[in-house]
Amino acid sequence: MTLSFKDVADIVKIIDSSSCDEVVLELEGAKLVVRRGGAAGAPSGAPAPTHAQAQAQSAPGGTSQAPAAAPAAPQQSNAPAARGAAEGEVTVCSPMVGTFYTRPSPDEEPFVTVGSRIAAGAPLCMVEVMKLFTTIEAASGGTVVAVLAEDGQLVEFDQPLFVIRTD
Amino acid sequence: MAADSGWPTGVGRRIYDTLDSTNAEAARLAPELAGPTWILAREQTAARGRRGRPWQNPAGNFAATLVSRPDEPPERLALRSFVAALALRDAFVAVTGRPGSFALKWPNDVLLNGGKVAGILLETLTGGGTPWALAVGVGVNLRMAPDRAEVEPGAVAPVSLMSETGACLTPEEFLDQLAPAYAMWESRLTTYGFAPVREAWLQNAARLGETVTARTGRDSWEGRFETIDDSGALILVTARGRQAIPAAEIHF
Repeated sequence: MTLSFKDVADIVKIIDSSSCDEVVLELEGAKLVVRRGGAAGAPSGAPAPTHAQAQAQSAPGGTSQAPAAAPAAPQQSNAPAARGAAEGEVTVCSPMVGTFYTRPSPDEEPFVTVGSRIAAGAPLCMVEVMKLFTTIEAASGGTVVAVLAEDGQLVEFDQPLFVIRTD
Repeated sequence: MAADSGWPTGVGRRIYDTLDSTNAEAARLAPELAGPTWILAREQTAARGRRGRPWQNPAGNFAATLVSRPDEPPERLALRSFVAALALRDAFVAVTGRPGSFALKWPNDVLLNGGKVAGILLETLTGGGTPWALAVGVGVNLRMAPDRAEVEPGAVAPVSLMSETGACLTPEEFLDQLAPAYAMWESRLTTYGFAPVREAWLQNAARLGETVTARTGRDSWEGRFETIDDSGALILVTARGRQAIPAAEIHF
């Protein structure tokens, strides 16, 4: 899977309109860092105060030998967690530092997984800080296209947790 | 500090014979409540602890939830872990007269003679885009503790207030102690900030200065329990340096 210039532009646009300060996206053979107001010294008049380090390491073979430039849907199964937000998608970030839980309890199924259809208000995960449990809910209906943190992981304030393709 | 100043002004009180769980009722009631309200159930049919763990709630034990709607960010709401623990300790001391028997385990466990006598479950209620509410669920083994075989291996052994101290109270009588104690610590937090709450909590902390283990779902840190910082995070001095830990289970 490779990133086109349009992909990167779309991601930057999404991040700009969200409350996230930084997104790190790792794909096979490529790493993209998008940082708001980055330390890289973007000119003050620049329209997008972000910098990207994407194209540097395209996947071996690039696009020329792509067996099918056709619908890219099946890619999802290769890297379910490595995905940024694109047009029509929103990133859900953590409202607090804490432990991220994908399930209501260790014996239950996850609230959502990649591909889950969700309604507005549906629970996505829980975050615990000092034994205070907060259920994070979907602001709008759609489909979960990426889960960006692992069960039991310590997450930071504003860390991206999910990408949702909105209806 | 004795918690005998009467029922706190402006705080509601609802007593039920049976509920599924007091935190569940808190979630249902939150949108319509005018002010903070204690919800007490003499019996819970679906009592639960953190991470969905079942909570044993035999008749005579205490199960109640304070639901309120503080307009604060989550990290600030979480400081109620310390408010609730201190309030519980005050209520216990008031009814037993034994301040030396109770200690606090980070962040909100209250130990009696080293055993687990109570559990606190805090939840933010987010339903349907309404303003966030906070549910502080409190379970106390007033009369009976669950069998040791029923708690998780490695967990603190359960004890009951009656077996350890001889104190024999109804849940309603205990609530009459807990509610004013909670209101007093809540008022300190909102008036003076976390500093006096932190200081009082540290004065009663179990294993301060000793080696403890903090476990999250994925990581484990062992180190000397130095203090808690001004966000309430546990500060451990480990071989890897000083760690601020905002969420974990502590093991002695």
